[in-house]
Amino acid sequence: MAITLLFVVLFVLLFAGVPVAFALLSAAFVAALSLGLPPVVVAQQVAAGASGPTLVAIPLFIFAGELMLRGGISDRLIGLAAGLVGHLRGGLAQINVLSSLFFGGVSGSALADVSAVGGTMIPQMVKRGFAREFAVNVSISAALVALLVPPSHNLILYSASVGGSVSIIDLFAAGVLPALLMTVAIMVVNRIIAVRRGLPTEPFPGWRDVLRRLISALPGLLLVAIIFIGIRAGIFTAVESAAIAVAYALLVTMVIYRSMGWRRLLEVITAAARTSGLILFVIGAASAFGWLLAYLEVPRVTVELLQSMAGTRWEMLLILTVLLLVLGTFMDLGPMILICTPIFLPVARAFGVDPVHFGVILVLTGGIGLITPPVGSVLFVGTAIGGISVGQAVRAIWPFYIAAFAVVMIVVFVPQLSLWLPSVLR
Amino acid sequence: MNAKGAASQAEQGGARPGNVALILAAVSLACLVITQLSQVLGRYLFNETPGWTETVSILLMNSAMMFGAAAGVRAGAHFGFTLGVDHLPATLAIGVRALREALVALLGAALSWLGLYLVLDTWPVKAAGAPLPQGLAYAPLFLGGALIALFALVRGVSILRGRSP
Repeated sequence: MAITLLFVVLFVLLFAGVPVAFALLSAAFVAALSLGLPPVVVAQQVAAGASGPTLVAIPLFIFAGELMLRGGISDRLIGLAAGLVGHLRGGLAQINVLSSLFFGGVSGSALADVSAVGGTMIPQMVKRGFAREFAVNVSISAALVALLVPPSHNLILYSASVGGSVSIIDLFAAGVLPALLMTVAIMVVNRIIAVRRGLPTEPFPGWRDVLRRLISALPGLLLVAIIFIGIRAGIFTAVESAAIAVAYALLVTMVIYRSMGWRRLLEVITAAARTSGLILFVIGAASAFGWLLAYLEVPRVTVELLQSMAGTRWEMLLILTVLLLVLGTFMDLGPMILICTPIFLPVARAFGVDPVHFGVILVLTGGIGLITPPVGSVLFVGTAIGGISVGQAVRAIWPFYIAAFAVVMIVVFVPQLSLWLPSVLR
Repeated sequence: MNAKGAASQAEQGGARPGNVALILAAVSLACLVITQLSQVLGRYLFNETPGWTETVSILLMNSAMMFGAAAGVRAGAHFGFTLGVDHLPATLAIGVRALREALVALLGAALSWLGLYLVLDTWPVKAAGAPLPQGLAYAPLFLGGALIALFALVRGVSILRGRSP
């Protein structure tokens, strides 16, 4: 009864347009009261859920990403991508994808990626005669790459949702090859569409110019290397690396690029504070919701149910993937990670799936929901930038869905793709 | 004073606390950076990792969350899906939006009340690692919850007056 109440209240309120965090919180309060629990446990879970030691990294990486974004790094990254792949079939579309990969390494967020890269690239693509739907669909699909590139906020969230027992740096390393695979898959789709439609290319600027652009963008690209080397060498922890990223971003934007003054810095920090507050509040509310799921023994029941349905690890992974794809279309990724991890990770572990591999599957599969209706936040932002309706975008997006689904299947059924790099870097 | 005047005053009243909420969230974030950096610097410069950083980080995280969330309510920036409401007839949509703000205000008030209870209940307990009362960690819940309730009420009033908040 309480489980039904929990989900009915959540979905009714979401449909009524209540913000996700408040819908989760309402459902948690209603279920707690129906179970006769004191409502103070919900408030306690909100505070505890959003202040886990691992989660400290998220607002700090948001701050670092915001500094890099407004400090001129995104323009330099796009410039480098233009030099490298602008001359390929599809020109600006290919630049868009590679820029998303580079920018993902700075922001760690698909939403920030589509805002920064899509905000610049969609208008340029439209100006050069690309169809608006195509420009939007390339941008939002490419933004998925940021989910897997370090410093991915969602991989940090996954680590936090298992109490930090899965190493963040292993997760960061595990996401790299799937992110590259996704980049290549989207670029292949771009090429096929470009050839069919005869889309324009950009002139190759020459290797000297590419080198100049690389040097200009290098301080931004180095962020990922600093994080990796610093954590792996034991110089600082994953959480401390986020503070180092902020210090480094301040150094790059205020001293090296000289693109950030004190007034601008104040704007950046207030923007980062608001974004962090919104995200942390969703995390807190989802933690309260997830605590009630655990209290109601939903994870145990799910393990038993899935064990009775699946005979082998691959059958179980297939069932989980389908479930996550369906759930991803109805839930935002952050709450989904916090709610689904305690339910599905025990199942995956029972079948011998590595928790690092499962983390990559969860974030990638759930992430596809960000570009599908009815609740795809990246889809909404992309269509708003492109000035088209969600329906217009979705009618033309299927080649990108196919590519993303193919990548998901490869990531699910080839665990080495996720586990090889962490083992090499260990 | 008529209802219109009261509502207008309420809207103006929401502006200053809104800025205060955002400033508090920004200060919390800046302090969080300093706290984490001091952990690294303490370890390498003074050969000693400070013990207070984790407790203070939790307080700052809660502050960034609650004040940032309150600023988000004021700006209408919380993420939600409005497709269902967008297709309703105008009058009904206004009613649903006003009810939505009322619910947010109720939840903010509940968090504030329960946060105050937690502050008072845990105040005598000393926090681990820092000379601070444990109850301080829940103070942002109390204050931020109150601001969420205030801003949601202001937005609700604006919606009922036919203004886009």
